[in-house]
Amino acid sequence: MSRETVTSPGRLTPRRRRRVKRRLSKIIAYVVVTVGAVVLLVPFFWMVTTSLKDLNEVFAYPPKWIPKPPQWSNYQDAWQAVPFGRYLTNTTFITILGVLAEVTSSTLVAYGFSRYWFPGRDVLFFVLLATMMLPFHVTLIPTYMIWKNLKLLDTFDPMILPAWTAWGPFYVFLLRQFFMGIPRDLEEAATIDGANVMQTFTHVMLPQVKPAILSVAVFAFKGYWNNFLGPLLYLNSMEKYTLTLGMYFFMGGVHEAPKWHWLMAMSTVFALPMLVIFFVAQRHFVEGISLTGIKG
Amino acid sequence: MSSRERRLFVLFASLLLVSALLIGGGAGLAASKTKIRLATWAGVDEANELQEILDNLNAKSTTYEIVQESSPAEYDTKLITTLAAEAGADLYWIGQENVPSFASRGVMMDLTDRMKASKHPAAKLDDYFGPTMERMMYQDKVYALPWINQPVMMFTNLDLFDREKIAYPDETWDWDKFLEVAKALTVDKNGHHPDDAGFDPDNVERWGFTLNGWPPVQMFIWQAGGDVISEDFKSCPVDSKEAVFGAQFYVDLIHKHHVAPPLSIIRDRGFDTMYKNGQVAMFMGGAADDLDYKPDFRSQAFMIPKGPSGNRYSFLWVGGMAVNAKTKNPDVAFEAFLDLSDAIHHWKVVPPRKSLATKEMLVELKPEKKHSLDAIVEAMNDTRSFRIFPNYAEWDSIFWDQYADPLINGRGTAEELAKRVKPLLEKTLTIK
Repeated sequence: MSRETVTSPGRLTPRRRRRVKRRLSKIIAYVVVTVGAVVLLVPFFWMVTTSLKDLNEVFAYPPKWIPKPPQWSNYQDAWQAVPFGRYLTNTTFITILGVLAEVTSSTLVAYGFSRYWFPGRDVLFFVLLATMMLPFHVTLIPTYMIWKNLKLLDTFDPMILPAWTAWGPFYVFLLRQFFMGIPRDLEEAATIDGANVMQTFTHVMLPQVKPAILSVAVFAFKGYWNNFLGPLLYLNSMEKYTLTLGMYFFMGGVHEAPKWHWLMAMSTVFALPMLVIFFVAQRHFVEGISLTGIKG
Repeated sequence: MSSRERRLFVLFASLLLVSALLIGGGAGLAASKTKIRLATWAGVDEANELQEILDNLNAKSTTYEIVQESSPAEYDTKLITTLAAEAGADLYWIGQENVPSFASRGVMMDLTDRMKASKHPAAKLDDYFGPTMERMMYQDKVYALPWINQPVMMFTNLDLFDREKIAYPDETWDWDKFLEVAKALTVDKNGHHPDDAGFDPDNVERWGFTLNGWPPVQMFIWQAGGDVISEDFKSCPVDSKEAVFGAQFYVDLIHKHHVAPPLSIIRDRGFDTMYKNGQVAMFMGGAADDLDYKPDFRSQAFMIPKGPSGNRYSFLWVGGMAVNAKTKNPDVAFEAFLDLSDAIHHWKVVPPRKSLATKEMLVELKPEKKHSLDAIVEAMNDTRSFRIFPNYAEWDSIFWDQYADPLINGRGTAEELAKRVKPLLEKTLTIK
């Protein structure tokens, strides 16, 4: 006869109480997470359903969550109203080159800051970090004038070339923390085996910071894909516009009402690559931003 | 250097080269014509319509090729940055609120002498409506040409008026009549109107009117005989009896009479959408709005009611076009500027020129607005716009944040807020 059967009804044994407690806390955790997920998913759901609504249904009262019938033609109409094919090519081009530049330069600079000592290194690093505090308004016009003097306005260069200079202090900081967590023994072992600096960097160090590199790549991808201000200021010719600029054509204006249904259709399309990349890289990405040192 | 390092080096160098060279370079243009860049805030439809106009002009011209550069979002940010760096477009659209500030900073070409010397129809300054042209001038000099007039009109759901057996708005309408009709058209879930016993302001099904900062409170202040900036730009009499009365009437439509929906409801359901959906019976919008022919019900634009001081000043918004003072091709840019201004005057409703703002002309331009055009033409005779000065942006920000916004949201009466904001507003008048 188990202990449970001898206890009077209504009274729980400590073991059972612990089990109930565990189950209860699990339920509470699931409820909290589910509520949080619903709260976060509602805007996304609204975006998708609005993209399938007729314009008059967008602000219908009471609100219609499920459009009947769904207006699939919104996607085609929006795509054709503005040359989105062209804008997608431009955006992809800028994003791929930008991410590549960002990752390459940030990794090199972060490695330098973490492993090499030179006079003023720490001061330089703090100056680099301090640039994060500068509001963009302060540098807007001077930066614009630099590109003007370089005669590179209305080209993609102002969005991509600075990335070769490790202009993202946050990325440098993130990668530096990773590099600093790697024991020097690994580099020393490589040196003893006859590896030079570049070989040590590419063969020994880079594989160790893969999660961080992936995190930087995902962050950079998001930054370039969603970049609005850069293209707004530096691109004049409409055939060079990016997706973000293209979408604003549906926001209406002084004499035009917003086309929410088209805007949401393109926002859905626009968000897809980000979602795919996030889900594919999720495991490494989360690892990258949560770890601050080498795995044991 | 190992072969792997060499490969890495070559790859790195190639990427740099691709970034720097391959992607650089702007689009070329036929050498025979001068490229004239035009900056606009046009949205998708407006940009496409404008492009047709530009294609026609470019086909006719042997000297210029106008290229449209539209930035529907953050237009001012882009315009100010590019102008400050002396890299702005040759021609640019400009709202009335920016003219004094831009002109005083020397980024707009002084067009006065060129206009006098030109025989182009768009250069006849006396053909423009006075209040409209004034907005494009600074210190008696012409800095831009207007291309649209937007007096405020009262769009009315005729089906609802017929159903409730209410006569359509006419020239006898004043604020009292307007309020009386707005109450008759406001109805709660139980069919009660605002003055009925048992009226439930929290469960209104349809409102007689709507406002959310638009139309501007200034319009009601003017109609009450008050003002927000004196003619000599030396004071801000927002605390005068008339100004307080006008502003208080404006917000009482929401909070006291309940004939206009609270802002929270407008945010959820859309401002003009509520009119289009029949949830609001009367809507004040710009003359060019499509509210008199797009909705699924009979709708017509009428003149707005007159205020207690007897005037029916309709707030006028003027959009214009300027020539960049730093353009490298001033002569060609000016030629393109006049041609394009004239072409836009034959596109937009209401044209800013008296000779074009006739009913016949407007019917030709916008046949779908035919039933509203008598009122629109009439409204052009009773317009008024803001008094604008170089530091206007700061004044406007204070006026909106510390007066209009709290007023509309019921965070103070017109009298209380006016007393508080007056010295702050007047301080901006003294800053050069």
